[in-house]
Amino acid sequence: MKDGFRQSMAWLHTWTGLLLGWVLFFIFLTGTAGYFDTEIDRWMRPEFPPPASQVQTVKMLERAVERLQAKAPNAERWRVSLPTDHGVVGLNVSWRGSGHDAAAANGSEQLDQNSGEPLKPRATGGGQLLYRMHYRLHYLPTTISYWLVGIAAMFMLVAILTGIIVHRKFFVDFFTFRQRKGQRSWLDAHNVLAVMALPFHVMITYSGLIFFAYLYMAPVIAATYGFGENSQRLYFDELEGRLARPARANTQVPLTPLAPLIAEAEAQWGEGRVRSLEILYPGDSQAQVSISQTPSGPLRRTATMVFNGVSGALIEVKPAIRSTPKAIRDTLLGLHEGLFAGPVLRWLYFLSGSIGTAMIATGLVLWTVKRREKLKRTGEPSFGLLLVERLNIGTVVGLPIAIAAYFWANRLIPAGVEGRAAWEAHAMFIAWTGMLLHPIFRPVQRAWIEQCWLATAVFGLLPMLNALTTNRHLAASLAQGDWVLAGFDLTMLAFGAAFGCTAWMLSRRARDRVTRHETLLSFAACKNAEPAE
Amino acid sequence: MTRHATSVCQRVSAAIFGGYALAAVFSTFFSYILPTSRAEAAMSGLLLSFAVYAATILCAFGARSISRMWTGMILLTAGFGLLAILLKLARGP
Repeated sequence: MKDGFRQSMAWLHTWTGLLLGWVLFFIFLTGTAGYFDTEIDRWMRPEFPPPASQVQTVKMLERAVERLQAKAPNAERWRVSLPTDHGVVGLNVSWRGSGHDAAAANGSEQLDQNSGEPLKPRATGGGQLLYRMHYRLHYLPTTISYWLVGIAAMFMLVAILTGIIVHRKFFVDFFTFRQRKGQRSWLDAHNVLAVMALPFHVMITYSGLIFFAYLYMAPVIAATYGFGENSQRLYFDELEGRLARPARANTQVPLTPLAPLIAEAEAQWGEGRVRSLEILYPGDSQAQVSISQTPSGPLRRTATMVFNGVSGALIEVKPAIRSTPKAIRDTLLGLHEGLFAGPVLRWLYFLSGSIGTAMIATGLVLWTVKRREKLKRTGEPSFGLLLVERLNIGTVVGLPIAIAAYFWANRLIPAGVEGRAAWEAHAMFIAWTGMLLHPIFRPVQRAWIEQCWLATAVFGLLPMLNALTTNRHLAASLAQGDWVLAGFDLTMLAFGAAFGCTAWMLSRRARDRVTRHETLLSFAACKNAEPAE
Repeated sequence: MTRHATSVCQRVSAAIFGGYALAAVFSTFFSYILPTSRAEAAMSGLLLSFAVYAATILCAFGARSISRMWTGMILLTAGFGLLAILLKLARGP
């Protein structure tokens, strides 16, 4: 190692940041989009009616339970999620373990809030799939994905810590931005972005690791509980304070009326503060009904009331906070997910996520700019530099284009096509592959400009595509005051405009450079010509 | 391999594997000394583990001498490991 603590930290920062930088960019970008997962869900299911104005909780639940009764009368458990979340359309019902073949007997449906009829939208992964990609990736097996994302998060944590050590002069440098100075400007941009949202970066990275800590740090749990799946289940049961579950009695008894139970819960928590309802062994004499509260802050776990499913008597109230370490974990996870955030805070989350994404992008570009500037003196670029330059273009601009391709596929693939939802995702990754290949055949400067123009087109034209393929175009949603759909279209237009500005600036700068080069050449030609006279 | 490359390889492996071992062992030890229920104690260990891991990685790259870095890491891991085993034995099955 070269001498000096800060030098070695700078070395570590450079390489942890670079090595998995593109994976981290993917994670940050899809995760940031995930803060608007339900809004994207709605845009990708334009058949859905706009969310109904407040339907009574009891009415919705009764309709949901009627539907479950018809659909899965012998299920082991039913679950009903109410549309308390921002932008959620309809009631979500799901059931598990009806019949003997448990695996085939699970399912879920979305119901219309007013009629209780199942909604039949186009098959799509929606915003949920995009959100899930940031920790579950795509195509890879689940456990491998979790590990890859965990390793990337650990790299990120080290990059953040070393970045803080290297940077040191936080407050002085925060107000420094040296424009149009090549490497200096990129460094300043990287620093400003990193410092601006530093608490967010630390929180999101550390809490991201905590999500799957049981997997990454399995030996710590095993040291107390022993290895194996059963010991992990025991750990989680103890942590969550789950009581030993009663066995099914297999005697048919009708379910207790739900209205009094909801009333009891709402009397405790306030009207409309019920998030979900779960029924264990519906129709059995051992049935239990659990009602959960809507979170009002970052604490992810909320209070739950458990009732006897036959008599309707209250069995227990599980408090939101059971113990300090679990509350710390639940708060970290809740802060990471931001489900509690209202519109303003949600946009702040989105902004912070975007800043993180841009921080990674500027770091990746800085690596190449630094080496390009050195090359001015020494000559030929190395294979590594050429590779990183191309990966940067194909990821920093290419991945947003791929996400737009996902949205385009949602509108363009006909409704009846087999495997429609899967093809939306395929479209995204085919587009990304294309964007990664394109810079191989083009000069670096040109490739940046061309992909920026392409991004301008695919984002800018998306609202037009929406207007051509659905009746929920921008003017209509603005007129209806449907801010979820209007917000999506407007955001896409803003992205298009931002990419357009970038493309325009880059091409102007490239032109300047060519002119300057030509002037120098003609100047040199004149000079050479002089002595000949 | 040049001296620089050897040094980098040693530090990288110390950081990744040594760091993981120290983090896991220290967190286990930490979960054994907590007076809370065992589930809460294990949870606390998990919460702390990544901070220990990250700190060890920084030390692996920041340390002046490679031999001192290895000695420190091995001694700490062995020490906390031994303490954890003793605690486990003292507490019984």
